[in-house]
Amino acid sequence: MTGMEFLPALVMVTGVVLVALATLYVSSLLRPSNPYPAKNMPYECGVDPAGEAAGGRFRVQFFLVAILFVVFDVEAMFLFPWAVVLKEIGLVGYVEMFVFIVLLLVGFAYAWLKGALEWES
Amino acid sequence: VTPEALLQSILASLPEIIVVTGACVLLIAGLFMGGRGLVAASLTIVAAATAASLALTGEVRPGYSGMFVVDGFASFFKVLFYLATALTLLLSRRYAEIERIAKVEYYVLLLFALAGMMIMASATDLLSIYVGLELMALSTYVLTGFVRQERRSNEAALKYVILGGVSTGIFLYGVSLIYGLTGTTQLDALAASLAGAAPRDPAFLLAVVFVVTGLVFKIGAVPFHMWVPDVYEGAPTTITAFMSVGPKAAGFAVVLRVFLNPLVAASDIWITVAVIAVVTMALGSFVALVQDNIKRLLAYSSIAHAGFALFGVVAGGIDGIASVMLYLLIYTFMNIGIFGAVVSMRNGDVSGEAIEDYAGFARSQRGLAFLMLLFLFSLAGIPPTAGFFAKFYVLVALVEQGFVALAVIAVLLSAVAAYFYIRIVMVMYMREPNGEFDPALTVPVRIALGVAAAGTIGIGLFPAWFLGLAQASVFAGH
Repeated sequence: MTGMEFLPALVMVTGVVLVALATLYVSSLLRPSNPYPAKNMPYECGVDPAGEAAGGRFRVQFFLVAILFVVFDVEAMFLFPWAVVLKEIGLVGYVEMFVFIVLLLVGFAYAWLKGALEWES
Repeated sequence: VTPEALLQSILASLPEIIVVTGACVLLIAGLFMGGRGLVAASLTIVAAATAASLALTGEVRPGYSGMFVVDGFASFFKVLFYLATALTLLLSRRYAEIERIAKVEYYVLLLFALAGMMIMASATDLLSIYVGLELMALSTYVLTGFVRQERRSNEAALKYVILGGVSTGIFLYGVSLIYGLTGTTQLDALAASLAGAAPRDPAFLLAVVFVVTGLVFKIGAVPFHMWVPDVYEGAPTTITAFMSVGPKAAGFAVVLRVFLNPLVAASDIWITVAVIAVVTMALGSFVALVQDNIKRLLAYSSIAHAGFALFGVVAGGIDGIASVMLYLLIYTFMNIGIFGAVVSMRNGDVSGEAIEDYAGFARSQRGLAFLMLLFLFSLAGIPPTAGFFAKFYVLVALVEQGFVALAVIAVLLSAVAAYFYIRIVMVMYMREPNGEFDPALTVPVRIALGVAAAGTIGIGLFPAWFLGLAQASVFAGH
């Protein structure tokens, strides 16, 4: 059965889960448990949490920047394998990548024109 | 890939390229157009794609290394999608202004959803199906939540994106399992390896169940129907009209493409489909009986119709598939028609969503009330409207394949469904009006209603010709 070829992957997944759970369990047995409010605070180099992010609310611009980052991140990841095999896929592959980049640029131009890159609005 | 093969592929996918390019240009140009001419521009793009599609019919053109094909089957569905999109655009003109959503993104996303549906209809590989599915789904998620000021719309969009994301994830997992087991994602190659493999391989069964789950979610059949009422109620009414015909038909296109394959059709999977069909139709019909909101009612009605169309998939063969295609075409006309009436009711402070709002509607608005009567009778399947023949041909296909018991169940459940459609007619014609009616019957809405009515009556008058068209499309596909 072809499914047997994937047995190592299954063993790997099981192993990862088991190691993670075992580590957490063993350390919970060994460590002293003594929580108090100051210990439960988010760690900010020993000072009390301050600023707008401490309340759990972020400016929406961070979200936009993150989304735009993902777009270009994926593009870069896609460019690496393309560059490696460019000689084999020839002119057609070259043109196809440009189609992809033009479509991305349309999205980028749209975001720019909409003012998604302006921090103050 | 040689440049010649690429040129052939580009030619085969010309309608998709037109729609995507047009949408991209509109996205940028629309920002400078100040909200004017957007409907006209979108309609032009749809018309150009229609012309390209019609020019490409008559010949089977594969493309992109067997991931894509243009055949009669795909062309039939693409024309259906153009129709649904064009009618939605016509209905949107005034409605979008009233809801203050008449932005360029609204129209661009509709066009992207159209492109996604077209790819789904032409896809012959699980991965290209996935690309089309995602393009369509992502666009409809955003369109569902387009009325940003309204909680209901936001809630619907969030529900839709989470449930849709889960279902797509399950679909992809099924695809990865299938690739692991057979080493291919192409539908034809899959069916061939299915014939060689042991049919009761549990891993393969699991993979098929996962893939089917993703598709069943899109057509809104039980047990993956829970999102339909909430999403249909919360979305802008024009988008509800679009989603109830376009993406649903696209989901069916993929299901049928899989079932076009004789090897799949010969397997025992029809038992599963038959069970899904019966439960879907029963649930849709019975739950619709107690709805007070017309959009929710039409959502359950759309679940019931999906169940009925699935009976055609059970019947299988050329006749069964053609009957489903005709069903979807007729459903497009009548459902856009009834939603067109609901859309036009949204004017001023009137939402036109409660069924009670239509009390005594026929007194002052004779024409519109009569059109609603026509569409509702068609949805209920009363002759001589097209809705009757939609159901009739599915039943004929069922009986010819020897599924008489299923045909009887289908007829009984449609009798239940007829009740809630007739109930709206009763409210319109038999009750005293509560107040004044002022439907927003602009020229585009009139045109859309006229086209929908012409389709509903026209197919009702010449059903055999349209069935022949659907059958010819299936033949041309294989």
